[in-house]
Amino acid sequence: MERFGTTMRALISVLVVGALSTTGLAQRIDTGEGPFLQGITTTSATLIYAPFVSNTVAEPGRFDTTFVISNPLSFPPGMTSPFLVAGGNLEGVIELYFFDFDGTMIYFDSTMDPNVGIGLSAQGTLGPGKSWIFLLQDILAVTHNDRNKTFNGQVYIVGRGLDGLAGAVSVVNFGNGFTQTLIMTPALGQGPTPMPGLPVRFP
Amino acid sequence: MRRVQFILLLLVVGSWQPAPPEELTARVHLYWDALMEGDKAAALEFVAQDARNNFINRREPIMRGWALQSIEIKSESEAQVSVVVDRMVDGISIAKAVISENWVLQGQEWKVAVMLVDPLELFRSMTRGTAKPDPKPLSGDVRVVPSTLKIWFLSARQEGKVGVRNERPERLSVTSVDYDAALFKLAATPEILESGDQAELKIEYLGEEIKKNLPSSLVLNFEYQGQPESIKIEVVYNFFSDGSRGLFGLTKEEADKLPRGVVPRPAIKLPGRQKPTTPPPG
Repeated sequence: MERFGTTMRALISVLVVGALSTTGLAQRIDTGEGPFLQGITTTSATLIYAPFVSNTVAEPGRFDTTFVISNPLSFPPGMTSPFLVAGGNLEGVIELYFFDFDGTMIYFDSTMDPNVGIGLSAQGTLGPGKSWIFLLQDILAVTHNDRNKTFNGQVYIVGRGLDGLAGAVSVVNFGNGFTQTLIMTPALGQGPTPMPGLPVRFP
Repeated sequence: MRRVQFILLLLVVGSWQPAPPEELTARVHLYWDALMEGDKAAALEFVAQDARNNFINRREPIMRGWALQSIEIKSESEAQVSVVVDRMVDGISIAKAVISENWVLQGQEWKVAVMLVDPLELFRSMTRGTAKPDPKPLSGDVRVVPSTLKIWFLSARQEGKVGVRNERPERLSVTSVDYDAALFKLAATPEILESGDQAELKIEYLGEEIKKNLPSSLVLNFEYQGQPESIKIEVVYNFFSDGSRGLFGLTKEEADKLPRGVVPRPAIKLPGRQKPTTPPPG
């Protein structure tokens, strides 16, 4: 009987804490002036980030980076989003801002060439439940007409028209099989909130 | 009835496979037993001469057991052998995997022709080839995708392109493209588009203006069934998206003044003290 009481108390505690958390997260959090808001809001653009990607032709083989950028805004009808996003903006354009080790920037927008990799619509947008998969060299082939252009740096990814975004990069040495996978941050299920990317506010 | 019997006979003959030679089956067992023991030197004896380097350079997964699944005889000197292996995953769990390899008759002995997969090519083949035009039925129109041609201010190449798709039942030929030659240079243009074909129309911005999101247009003139027609395509040059403004923390006015060659910095603001969203009463 005592064990039953303990179990019930634990269960009630979990429910109460869960309800409070959900209520808190569902409200807009104003974090002050600035282009980004950290909070669960609909801002129609979302940011994720990877600290290192590489495209380097070297022996043996070459370093390249495989990207997967996923739109997690697909959930069964009748269910609310498990990520606690408003879910008003479900399909959008992916913008890539690559910063090389010396600070120079390379820009790519998924509408520039919807034929890069797989997963984009003919218009270059990423729909709910879809994943865009490509190699860094595919991007460099479009931006610089050179698959072998050396790049070693970081990348910011903005989903324009999207309330959530997730992704991962794998830096691969295709010669000897070395692979380093990095989950783009902020990532689903990490940190205090299950936030699928950082909402972006337009000044 | 005879027809049914004939069809059944055809099916039986069609599905008939010659029995694999005993020598092949025996060598498959010896080869896989050697691999299971991690004895690549012993397994090398069963590898075709011209595939030995591939075999030596191939990294073997950790396997805990195997079973012959099938031997498909392709010709007198070629067979495809499929085995199911218990493969270690993440060092803790075991998953079944099917491995298929070609065996060839070299001299009097069956040998495995080990192929070395280039992982880069493997990944590229996974992400290539889906860019074909929509297989949808022809709409009867000439489609331009995307509908607006954008030239991105932040891009290293000051050019933009659209795909032009002929969704009419007969070919069309492009006769000319009208555009503002003081601002743009034509980089690629379709010429003849057969029904269902798609080609790129590409222009390059030549100017130095820094004001953002400037409109222009071009006209694609073509001939269809001997009749001249045209399509107007909207152009936005120095395109600077709301996403870019958000990332770099720029108002529209600030973005308009951003010069070429200046690399803006992402402006991430960490969450500060929470402010009330509604003013207090009174």
